[in-house]
Amino acid sequence: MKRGISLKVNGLVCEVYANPGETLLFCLRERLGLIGAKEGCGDGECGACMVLIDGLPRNSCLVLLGDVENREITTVEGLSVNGGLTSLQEAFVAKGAIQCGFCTPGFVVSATALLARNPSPSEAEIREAVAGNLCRCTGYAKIVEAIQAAACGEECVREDGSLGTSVARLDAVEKVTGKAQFGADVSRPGQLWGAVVRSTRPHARIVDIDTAKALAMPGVAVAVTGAELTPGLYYGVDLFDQQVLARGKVRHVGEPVALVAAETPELAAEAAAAVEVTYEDLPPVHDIDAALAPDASLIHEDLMDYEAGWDAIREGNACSATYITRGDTDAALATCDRVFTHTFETQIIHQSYIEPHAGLAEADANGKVTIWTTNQKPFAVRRYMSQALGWPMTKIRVIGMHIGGGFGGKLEMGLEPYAALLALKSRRSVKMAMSRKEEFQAANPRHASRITITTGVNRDMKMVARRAEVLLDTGAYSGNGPTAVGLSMFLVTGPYRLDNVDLSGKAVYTNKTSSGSCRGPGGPQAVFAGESQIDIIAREMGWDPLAFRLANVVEEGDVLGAGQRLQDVGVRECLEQAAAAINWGGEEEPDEGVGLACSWWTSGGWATSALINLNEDGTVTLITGAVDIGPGAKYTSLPQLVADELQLKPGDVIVSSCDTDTSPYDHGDGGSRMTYNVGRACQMAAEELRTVILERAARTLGVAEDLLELVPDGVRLLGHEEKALTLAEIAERGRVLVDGPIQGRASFLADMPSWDTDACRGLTYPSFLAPSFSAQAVRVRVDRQTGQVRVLEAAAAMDVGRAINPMAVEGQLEGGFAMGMGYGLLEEVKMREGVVINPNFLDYKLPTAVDMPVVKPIIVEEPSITGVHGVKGVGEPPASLPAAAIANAVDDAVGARLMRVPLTQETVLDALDAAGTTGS
Amino acid sequence: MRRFKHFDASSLDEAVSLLARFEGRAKVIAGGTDIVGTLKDSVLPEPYEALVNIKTIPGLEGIRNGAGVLKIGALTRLEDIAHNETVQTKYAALAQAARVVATPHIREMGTIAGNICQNTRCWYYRCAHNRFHCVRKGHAAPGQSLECFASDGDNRYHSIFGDVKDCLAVNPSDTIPALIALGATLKTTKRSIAVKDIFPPSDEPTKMTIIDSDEIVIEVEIPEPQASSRSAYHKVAIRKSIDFPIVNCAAVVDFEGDVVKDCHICLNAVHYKPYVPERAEALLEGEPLTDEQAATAGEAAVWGAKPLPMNSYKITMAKGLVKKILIACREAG
Repeated sequence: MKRGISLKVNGLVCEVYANPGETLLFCLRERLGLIGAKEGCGDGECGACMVLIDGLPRNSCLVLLGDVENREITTVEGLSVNGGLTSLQEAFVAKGAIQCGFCTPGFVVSATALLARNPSPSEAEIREAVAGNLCRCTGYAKIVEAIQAAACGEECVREDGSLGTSVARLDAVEKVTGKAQFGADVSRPGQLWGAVVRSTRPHARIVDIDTAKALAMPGVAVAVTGAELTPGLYYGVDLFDQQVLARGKVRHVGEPVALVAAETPELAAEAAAAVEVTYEDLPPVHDIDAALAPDASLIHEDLMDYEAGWDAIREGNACSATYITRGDTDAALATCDRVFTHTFETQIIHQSYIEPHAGLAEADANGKVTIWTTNQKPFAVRRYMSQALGWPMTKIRVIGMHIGGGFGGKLEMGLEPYAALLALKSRRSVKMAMSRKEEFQAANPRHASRITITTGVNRDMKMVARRAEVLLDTGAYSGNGPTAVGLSMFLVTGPYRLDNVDLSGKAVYTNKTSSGSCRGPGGPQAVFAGESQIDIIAREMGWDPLAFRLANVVEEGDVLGAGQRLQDVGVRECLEQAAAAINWGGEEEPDEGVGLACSWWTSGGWATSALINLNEDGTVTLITGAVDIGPGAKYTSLPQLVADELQLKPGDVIVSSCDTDTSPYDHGDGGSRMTYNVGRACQMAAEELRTVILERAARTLGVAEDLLELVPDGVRLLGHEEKALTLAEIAERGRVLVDGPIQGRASFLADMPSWDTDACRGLTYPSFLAPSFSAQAVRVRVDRQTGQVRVLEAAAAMDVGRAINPMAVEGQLEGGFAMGMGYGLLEEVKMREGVVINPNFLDYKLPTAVDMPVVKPIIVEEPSITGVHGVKGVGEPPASLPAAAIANAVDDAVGARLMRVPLTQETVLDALDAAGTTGS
Repeated sequence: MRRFKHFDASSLDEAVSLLARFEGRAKVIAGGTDIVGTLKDSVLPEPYEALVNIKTIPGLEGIRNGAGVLKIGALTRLEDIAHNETVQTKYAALAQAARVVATPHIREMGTIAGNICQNTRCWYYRCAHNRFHCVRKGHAAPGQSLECFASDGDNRYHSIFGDVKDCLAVNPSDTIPALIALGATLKTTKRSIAVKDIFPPSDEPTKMTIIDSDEIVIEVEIPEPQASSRSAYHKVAIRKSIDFPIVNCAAVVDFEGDVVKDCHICLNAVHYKPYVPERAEALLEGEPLTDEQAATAGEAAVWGAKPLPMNSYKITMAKGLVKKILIACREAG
């Protein structure tokens, strides 16, 4: 049914030979190379594929080619005039409206259409116009601000300043124009499309896999099953319990069982469906209780034999048990005036980056496979693949593309080994992309939890002891469970001075998709539980929740976590400022209430390195293995730190992309670690470069080094106005005359703060590096007729040590609040017998632009003594607090205390019904 | 997406004959916002073989205000209905309903006929790759029995007025309650039929409407409401954008002074088809519409409700919503 179809795209007429039933999105991307329109959901729910058809915005994933013949189609690529940016695009760049950039073209297209028909829209009209575009990074605040600025004709000037200024991201222009390449944007002539055959059973023995029918289909190239792989090889984050393709048995619905590659994505999907897998069902284990039952069916019979990266305590279906004990909790509780015990539960959420996992692999003549991918840890992908497939690293090259959001969900291996195996077998390039359904069914979401806390207090408002049991449902494989449970235990005490703590935690296997890392793994669960109980106690004791917190928060020198002594503590100021921002203690309207939460978190550690070359014109190239999932350190604070050290502008810094063959090692983008760690390496490398520049200049000029100083673009003699040598002259001299090209380099691995080794057992991550502190406050209104909770005002305060780029920090506070609000009110991955029943952005509910309140970001700076220029990690914590703050505010508003998130309308209404206070 | 044939019909006759030729295995495509997703997800056990594009048929789009009747072409987009001045002033409930369908972008694509004929959103029914062999689909795979997975599953958004042949799915349309309350009629290639009558009897749960597979909606006709009447619509949904209703409701109330002369109320997303609460209508007529009356009508509207284990909250919502809509009618104009 293919035929010639004439299209008019961005003013040019083109004819494609295609099926009229093909989607416009596929045609634009795969036939015309217009990659600015993105596929985020395929169902018209996310808006990343937005294009204009006859001037009106349309979800091109729902538009069939046959329906747009001869219509005017404009993609993001067609918006710019003469290669320049439109004023709207310029505003997106300057206002910090872009983080990961995957949703950006869709927003730009929707907003362009809005401004064409309504040149001066109100804020409400702006939010409404982008209500069909989802953004997971920004919380929409800066997007709305950018559209407002463009509508007002405000001239948006990009800052290119020094440390502490809001420099525009270096990758913003390519993102706002749709030119930035993400995982699915790499193509090769003659490429095949890969698809994964996934388990349909939660727990079953694999009796047989028959690929014959699939391979017999015309256009199907190859199939791969686990039987072809080297047996006995496992990989994992902490516990090596996972294989690339299931062998022997499957442990969750969606687990990869086999692979196919075919000429088109439709054929690949049909071939995957044609692979016949025979299963023999085993008793499934669907939740924590079932998993811990004495007669539970074992999900991993070989648990005790798996290699582990730490001193693991494991038993039955618990892949990790951890303990922290300080003081004598039993004795302390016995002497308290009051003791409270409560149990809280949290749900599974998906990171919901708008870009699904995607990539392309190709093999060279030597059988070396190169993979272009959207992964937060390219070097770890190479290591995991080497471990899991038994390939030497010389046969694996991973190239990091722009990443359309990660939030921890792209820290583990995604499609990389699958594309690689198919490419190697077929000797063709193989492209793969997960559908949104596969993302929900088979990625690595946030752990569901059940947390029981006992807290003892005295009438003088002092907390004396806390006991907690944290149970995380880690799913079919350990994923990040062992670390997440430890982090939960660190957070469940809150940032409170407690001499007696008794904490235990378990990560428990179940027959569900394995849970991985999600922005502050273990954090939101523990903060919801711990901070909810703080308010329950305050209410019960008649104390003001703010005063109760302030009476107990840690100070410099106090002990927290597994016995580490704290430095640079800014939690009190965060609490005071957040509370003041929402007028804490002021008058409240009926059914309105206020709530608070506070917490602490680590600046992640892990190894990194950096290399800086001085270019012949005096600019520099920063070569780093770092990638960026959206927060933007790679394109803001890293070049700012380099520029600062070298008296340059951030725009003078070329930032390389990550290629495991050519980049210095970096651990990856996660754990709020980028500026603290990679930033430190960059600063050290720049410092070395600076030293070399001064040495070379001193020799050239025949003077002592200490008589020289580095100034913008050159070196001068102390006390002189004029430059003695420009950087270009110094670089060129090195290149052609003497000593060779000029480089600075650094390797860095942060020293972890010491902890009390006697106080803990089984922890993978026993102390918090340069801890950050956070507090958030919200004002909510509860509708007694519908149970609906609206956040009216929110303030997100964080002690970030030092804000290298305040606009980027604000973006984390605003976006983190949005993600945490989704966690608190809206989002839940729901399963029936291991099958996700809401695997789409309609039934799985991210906050939209019209749901978000204005969030006031508050930057508190209590510099870290160990951080480069005082920085602490910023990315994760803002998402951990909103659920608790909102639950506390709901209770304050209507006297309904919810012990489980999300606080959906029906649970609020049921709670009001139970209290007999539904409205009418 | 599975491959299918795609036809551009140039006339209704051609479209009808194409649909007839495929004997139920072809489907009309207009806005495409529902059907394309269904095809991509391989929701149905037997996928459609062909789509018949009717956007190539002239004359099916547009709003015409005739003598005492408003005619809305089947392909009229929801966004155009929401912003039409006549609709906003005389048929307020419809404008309000069209205004809150899905997202602004979907409203730019989705048509009124599509919104009327759309498929259910039950998450077991719509689960990709036909993972749940439910009663609604009607085709059991060998060795599998059909059941309603909502009955013992997550049924928080399902029917509060019981099952129909074991199926608990609801009609999710935003515009249908407004059209029914306003007394709209559908003109199709086969007949003229009141919107309230297009839903199947309770022994045919697998169909959303009784419109045949080779029948095409041409136009929606709405009689002009009495000058003394007022209408309103509201939906309770989780988010302010994208979402289908948990419960929605439209009402048209004709007043004589303070007294209700005539009253039409329609709830949706509470049963397999739109729900007209006749008891509530009856008790309002001939009485002044006080807040107390509105609340009593809300109570009466959910009379006979049979909530499922997870959705008794919808009864609370429906009661409150009926009251709110009635008061909105009173306060309007």
